[in-house]
Amino acid sequence: MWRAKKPTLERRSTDGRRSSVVDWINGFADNNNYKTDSWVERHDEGCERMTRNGSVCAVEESEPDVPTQHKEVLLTKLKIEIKNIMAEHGAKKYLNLNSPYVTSLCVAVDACLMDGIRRRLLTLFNSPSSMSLLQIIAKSNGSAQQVLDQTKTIEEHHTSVIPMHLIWIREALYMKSLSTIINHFIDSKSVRRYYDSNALLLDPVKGRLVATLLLAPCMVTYRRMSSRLEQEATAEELVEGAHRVRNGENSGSTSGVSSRPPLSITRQVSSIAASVERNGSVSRDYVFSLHHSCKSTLLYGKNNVCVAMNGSDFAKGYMSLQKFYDGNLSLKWVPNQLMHASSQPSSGHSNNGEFTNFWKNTINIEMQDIIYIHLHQKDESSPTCLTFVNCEGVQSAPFQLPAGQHSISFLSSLETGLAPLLRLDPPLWTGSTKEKILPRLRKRSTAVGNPAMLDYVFRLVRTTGIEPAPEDIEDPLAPSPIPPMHDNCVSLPNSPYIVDNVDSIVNFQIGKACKSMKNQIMARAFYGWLTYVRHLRTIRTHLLHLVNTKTIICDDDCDPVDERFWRECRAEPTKENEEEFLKRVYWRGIEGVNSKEIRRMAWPYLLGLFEWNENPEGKLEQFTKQYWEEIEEWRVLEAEVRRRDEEAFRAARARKAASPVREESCEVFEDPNEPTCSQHYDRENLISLFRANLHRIDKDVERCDRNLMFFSNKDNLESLRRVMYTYVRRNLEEGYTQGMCDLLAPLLVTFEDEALTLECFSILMLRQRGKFPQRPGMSKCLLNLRSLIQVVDPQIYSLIADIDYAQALSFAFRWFLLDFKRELSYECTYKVWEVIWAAQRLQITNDFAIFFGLATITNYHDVLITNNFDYTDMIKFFNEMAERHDCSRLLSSARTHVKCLQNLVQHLK
Amino acid sequence: MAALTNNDKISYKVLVIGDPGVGKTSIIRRFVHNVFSSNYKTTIGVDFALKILPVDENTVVHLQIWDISGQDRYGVMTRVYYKDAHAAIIVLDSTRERTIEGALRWKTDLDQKVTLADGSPVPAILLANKCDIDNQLGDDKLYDLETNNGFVGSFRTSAKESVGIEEAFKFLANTVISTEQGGQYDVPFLNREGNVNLDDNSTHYKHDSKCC
Repeated sequence: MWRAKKPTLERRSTDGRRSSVVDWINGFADNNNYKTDSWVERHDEGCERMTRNGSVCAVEESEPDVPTQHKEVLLTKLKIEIKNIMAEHGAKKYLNLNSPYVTSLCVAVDACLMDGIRRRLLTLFNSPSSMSLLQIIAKSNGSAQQVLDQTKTIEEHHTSVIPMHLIWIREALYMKSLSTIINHFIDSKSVRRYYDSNALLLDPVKGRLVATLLLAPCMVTYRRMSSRLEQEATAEELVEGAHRVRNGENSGSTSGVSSRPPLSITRQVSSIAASVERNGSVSRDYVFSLHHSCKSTLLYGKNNVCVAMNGSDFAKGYMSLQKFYDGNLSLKWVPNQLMHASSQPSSGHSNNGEFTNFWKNTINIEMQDIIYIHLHQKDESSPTCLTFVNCEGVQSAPFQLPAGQHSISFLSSLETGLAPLLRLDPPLWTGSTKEKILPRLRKRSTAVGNPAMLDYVFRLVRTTGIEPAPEDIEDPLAPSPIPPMHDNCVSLPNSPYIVDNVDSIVNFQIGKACKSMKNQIMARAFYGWLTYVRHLRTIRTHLLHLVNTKTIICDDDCDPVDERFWRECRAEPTKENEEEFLKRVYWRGIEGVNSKEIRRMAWPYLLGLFEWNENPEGKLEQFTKQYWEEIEEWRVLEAEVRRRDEEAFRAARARKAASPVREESCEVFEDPNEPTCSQHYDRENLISLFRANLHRIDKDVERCDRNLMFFSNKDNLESLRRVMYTYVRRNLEEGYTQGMCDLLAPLLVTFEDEALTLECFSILMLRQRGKFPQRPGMSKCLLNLRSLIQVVDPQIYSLIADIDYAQALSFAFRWFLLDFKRELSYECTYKVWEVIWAAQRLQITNDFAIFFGLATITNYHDVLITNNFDYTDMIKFFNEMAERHDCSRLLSSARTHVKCLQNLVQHLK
Repeated sequence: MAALTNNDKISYKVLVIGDPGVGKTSIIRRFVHNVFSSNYKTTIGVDFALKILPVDENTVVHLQIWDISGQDRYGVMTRVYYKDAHAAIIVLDSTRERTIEGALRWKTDLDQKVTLADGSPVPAILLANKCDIDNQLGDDKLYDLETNNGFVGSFRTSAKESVGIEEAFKFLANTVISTEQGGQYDVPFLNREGNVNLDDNSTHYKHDSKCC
């Protein structure tokens, strides 16, 4: 961004939102310079450095040279990364150490440190990188040594989030010593030796600038979280969170779906209030219901009405009188805090803990239950108190309306609302100016000291056509001539003479409660039975075939297959110990001093390649011979393929921009020219088909489990390739599909014998190929899984019930395609595979993998439900949990599921 | 369509498709994590990554980037992956001419399976990846591919050297925003306000209340 002087000054519009420090870092704002208009005239010569928006922020004598420009570029990149980190940090309390922002910052820092470094000197180190510099000063600098040690520890458990050579930078950030370390680099003579004279770090200004800029990121609090996703919680955090919830640590806050509420009739102590559920969305509805809604008309609303809560504190709130479409009048009151909170969208879920107290104090009074309204007012200028008394004699907490006409407007709205069925007694009088006023007392109270005190008792009575004379209101105990107004309540006895009414009231109330509870119990029982029947129907229609009830063995206390047992089996193979072997594998797996060795010997029997009493020597020889013969055969084809590739490459280079000629079949899509299966290929078709597959295999072999020690050896990769080529040559119509290498690799690692691997792989593929694309096996698996979930875990089922099964369970696609090989470590894969194979041999189930999938889902039940996952969340979650599952636990859970289903099926039959 | 403000967090589903081995996973990893490795495993099924991209001073865009396996021959899952996509990135390998044709086939397949509300194709850009290695694709050829096949843009990229990827995604983000402002996405936005859909909760609640 250096250019020759521009004569015009470009003003940049100020954005008040940005802080000036951030702008300064970016070079966006120059608080010193852009105010003066004479800026331009003063500098007629030389170059100006402009920012993105055109404002000038620096001037030099002449255009800077290339290394300086490069240094500027590095510095700018660093500033951008720091700015990103600080912006991220501003939004949160802490930053994920594995987040991409941190990684990008480390990349930028590394670039700055490596600028101008003398690489040939660095090659003296094992891994030439900026870490070598750290090693140099570690001897004399304590914090550098700490970072170095920490880095070494981290390197042991290296994950692929951040490249190896950047780990130390990240750790130094975490330990807040990066800035000081870089300062040490600059000061240390031994480090300076490694740089050219125009390196960034050696620059007197810019070098220190790097260190100083990094002070801010060092101040940020980092947290080490195991996933690389930024704002979303990691899978492990979610699992941990679910554990905590299950153990009751979060008992106060709600979960997404509430479990069944207990049967109850609630009554709160101090006020007549219905219980209010704590569910977030209900609170919003409730508060919204205080305003005009389609179900009710708001007759009267007043804010800042005080109500006593919990004894003596008063809380201000909003009181509203509403008439519903069915004629019921209700009076509601909600504290102000809830009103304000509920107007924010986010309050519904997260703040329930804080607001439970407030919720307890909301008031909801049905006017049909009220008999008396007491009104007290000290004098005309003090607040009015209203108290409501219901048919059971319970008083509401007093509502305090501010002084003035408020009580009268409330009462007149109430009177209007009560009509025509009910009325106030005594009714409000109409004053001289046609407005409503309180009835005038006949007798004045003779109480001394406060002649202006106004007390009223209003009664709510049914309109019967008789207009009673306004009574002396100071005598509320006079027996009422008006008949009781409600079906379900009776006026409290006004005199001590009417005693037997009390019993009938009590009986009546209890009867009402019992009836309600009976209804609830019946409804629950019915729905429970209905669900059970539905489940049985699902099982009958869909899941019967999944398990076989012939062998329901329950031998989880048997031993695993170890060396001793295997020797016995081989010494004298009998039908009994074959059964025993299979049983042991199913329940406990293969586990000995050297499990890999046992597997190598035992798996071919488990897969059915060898008969139990067969001596494999002969067969192995035959397999090996055949294998190498087949290789010879396709080597010729391969040579031809390579030749053609070379030709095509050269031809393409020559053409370069010309349109591509289709040379052979496209990899993915159905090509009408692709030769279809025929008994005898003509050579051209053969080469063509083989070539397409070769390319696909090559691509996948290159990428297969390269982080594994076994495949870091190129010879083993070649073995993998050979076996796959041979398999595909044998099965050319089927061809190669992505995923097959993943299935082959564990077998090769176990057997280390190509011919044997090929034979076992062929057997495995017989089963797996039905699940590959364009075949029906995968759909079946997913549908079965869905039915199982429906029966076993209805809560999770409710999350996926309304969605297409392929979409809802898309996370399980990779599970079933590869029998969980990608979801588990190699060791776990071995364990799971042998159980799947044993289950089939024992004829317990041919689809143990589906039960394992079920177990995986139910294992994370809490996480899924609490966080209300949709299908994309599930994909993300399970992808992240890859290689993190507790496979022993999942295996035993899967076996339990199998047993359950077996029992159910048996019961049905 | 309301103007996007500071608080708007709208998640856009972006598909990344193309022949096997062209570099889809590498491009995504480079964009989201700024790392590169030659040893990523073959993508099976689907993987996805989230990236928050500031578009201008007031707006950020949440991209939900779906890394789709390069070989799923009309399997049962493609319709799941394509559903409700807002944009697509189709990748080809500059060093393998065959992948050019593959890219066009992917584009056709995409347009058959998912469109915008008015029937027009989902905005798609073309990336010619691995441009750091010897390049077989001329500039005018790339331009032709773009204009003749309905792509809204094309870019040369290298995940290894980190070239062109930021620009491509920024361009895509801007395209998506203008498409949205034109009202062409008819489905409600995904994941508004932090993944919680209030409607779902109330359905839950009602369901439970029926069963007491």
